[in-house]
Amino acid sequence: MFKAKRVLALAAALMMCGMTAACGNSGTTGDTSGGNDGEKTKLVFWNGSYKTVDDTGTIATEDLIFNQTIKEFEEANNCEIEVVDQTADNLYTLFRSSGVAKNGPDIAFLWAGSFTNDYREFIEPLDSYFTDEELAEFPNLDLCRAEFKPEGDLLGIPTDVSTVNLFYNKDAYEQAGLPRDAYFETIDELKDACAKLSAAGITPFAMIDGNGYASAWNVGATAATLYGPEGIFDLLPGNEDLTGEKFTKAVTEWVEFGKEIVENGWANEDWLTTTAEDVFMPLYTGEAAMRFGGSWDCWNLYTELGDSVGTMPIPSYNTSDEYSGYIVGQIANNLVVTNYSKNKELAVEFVKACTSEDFYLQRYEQEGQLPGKVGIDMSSVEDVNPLLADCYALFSENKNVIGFDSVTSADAGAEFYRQVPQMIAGNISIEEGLKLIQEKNVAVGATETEE
Amino acid sequence: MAEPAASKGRYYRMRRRWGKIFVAPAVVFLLAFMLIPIVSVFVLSFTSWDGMSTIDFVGASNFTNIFADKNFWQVIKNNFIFMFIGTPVWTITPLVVAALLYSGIKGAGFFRSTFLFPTVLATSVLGIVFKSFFGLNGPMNALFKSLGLDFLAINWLGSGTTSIPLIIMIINWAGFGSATLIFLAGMSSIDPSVYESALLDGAGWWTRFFKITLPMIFNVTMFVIILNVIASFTSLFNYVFTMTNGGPGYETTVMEYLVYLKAFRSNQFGYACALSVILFVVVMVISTVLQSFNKRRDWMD
Repeated sequence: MFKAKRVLALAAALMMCGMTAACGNSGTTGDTSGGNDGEKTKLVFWNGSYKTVDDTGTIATEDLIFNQTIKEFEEANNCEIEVVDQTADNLYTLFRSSGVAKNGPDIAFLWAGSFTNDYREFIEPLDSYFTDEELAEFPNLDLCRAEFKPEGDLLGIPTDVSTVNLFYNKDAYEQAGLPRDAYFETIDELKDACAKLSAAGITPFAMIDGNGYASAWNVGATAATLYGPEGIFDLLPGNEDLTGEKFTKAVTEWVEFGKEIVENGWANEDWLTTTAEDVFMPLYTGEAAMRFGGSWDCWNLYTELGDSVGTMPIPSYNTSDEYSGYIVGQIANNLVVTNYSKNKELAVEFVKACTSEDFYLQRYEQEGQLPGKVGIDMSSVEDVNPLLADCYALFSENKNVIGFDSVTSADAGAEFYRQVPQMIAGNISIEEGLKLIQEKNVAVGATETEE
Repeated sequence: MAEPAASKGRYYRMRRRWGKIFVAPAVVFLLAFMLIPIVSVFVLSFTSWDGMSTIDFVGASNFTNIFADKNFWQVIKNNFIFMFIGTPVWTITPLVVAALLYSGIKGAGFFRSTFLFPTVLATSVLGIVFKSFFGLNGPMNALFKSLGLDFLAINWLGSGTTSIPLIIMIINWAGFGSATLIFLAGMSSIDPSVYESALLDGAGWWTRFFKITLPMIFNVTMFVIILNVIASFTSLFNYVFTMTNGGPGYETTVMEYLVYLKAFRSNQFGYACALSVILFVVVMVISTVLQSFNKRRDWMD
């Protein structure tokens, strides 16, 4: 009997050990591999956006530019690239966890700005891997630098840029007696258009602000003309108080317009709470005329509306502002190399392959993403999406200001998204809301920038 | 012949030793995956940490910042609204249903199984489905309009005043099946002779329910109430996340969701841990108070 008990106890102990070992087995996906898989070095790439499968059914998988680039790079460097598709919801939590464990990707596709800067602890500075001539091909890289300082380490290489725009249905405009190729310079002109659209029985805006993005884009636009490309960094945590005169003015201008939109019935009833894309259906059918958005929307909008969709920058709230005419335009995403990668140089070479002019052009054509470099001749692209061409032209005017929520702390940004729609709804005053936002504009875990 | 005392003691000592050996794996598991993380949360609540870089000890400043944050009081108020409104709903509904099933209505067996179906559905799926149902242009509003009830065709998720009761109703729909089973189990333990005696004395259904059933399942009822109170603080995340994202503003944000926001959206792990400690204390205090009502004499004696 005692022997049986010993056997059972041993079996139980072995089972526990086996379970613990199985839990600790990290598997192969997402591993940083410095070892050899046979003769080949392996790079792990966490992909947040590049198409690896074409959902339109018009482009063969092997013809997608990212897949082509991988194949060519693997052949040229005798290596293997493992692509792990990550959704935005998971990516940053996983990136943090893998960074702590030093067991993650070699290269990752991250949103530029705070979403990269906050994880600089795990990112390899790239300054030494690029020449000044190479870096000059990119727009202002401060957003990709540690703490957004010109002297900060370069953390990422841009994959694409974005602009914030107002899109409109040309047919709805025509129905209301407005020009098909409209361009409003001021908010007052936009308000006049809203009145005409409303009189014609068309809802001026198909708008979602349940997630605070419409507010963020508009306040970004007002802040751009007040702060300009250098001054916007005054909103970094620890610098300017968000309850100060300038930022209050930026927010007030949008909130007052937002209240006018609500009071006049110029937007869908559930604009304050919905985040669903299906609220844009009236825009496609012509029941609604406009929506706030960005260059990332061009692909879908053009697919739905074709030449019946037009775009313009968000009109100026105040033409006497110092930087009137400036728009929200910035690096949208960037590629980073982890500092725990065992193949940093090879990883950087792959980053360079994914940021070549040819790659940008083909990605522009296939995915509708604006190139991350300036001065690229888009005329070589056949059947260019005219919306995208307009956005890139706007960006190329070089009157771009980073969105304010890319420089404030993540907490302050999150608080902004919640409070500003509430200000429009009248549930909180502007002063009170900004006070709550400012309380959150604190850097967490900031480290010293290397001199 | 009686065993010598010495060998009896040795036998029990060996039994205890083998018992400890057999429970050791489970204890190790509990220590590693429950106790250590719990203690870590308590320790981290006194730090400023972004989950990546160095951990800085900041004393009680996380707690003072939390109590000074206006949003926190809105959030804790939301949890108490869920508790005071949700708990009675989540308790009375399954109690009534269990009483009906126990009284032997036709089809009781069928209903007993059917009522359990919502319990097996993932709460996040429920949240997404009901969010669509009760959207401004969703099927429920379309139904209300078709019935001439236009005043009900509102933006149900547009404010905390309507979305909190909606979430309570959805949780009730999803969870009353399992609570019904708990009540049925309690009712099944009542000696049928008590009901027979009451029937002989001319007691009607209501009298039997209030004078016999309810008192005799008091402990079970308190158990369900305590579970529901705890759920009003710890089981709302999926619904809030999928249906309202805590908005508009903070009108439907609850403590769990705030912990998630602070930890994973704002990279403030120390602050989030402090919120978790506060949540733990609140639930512990309320549960302890409720448990004190549960001390009563055994009616079966």
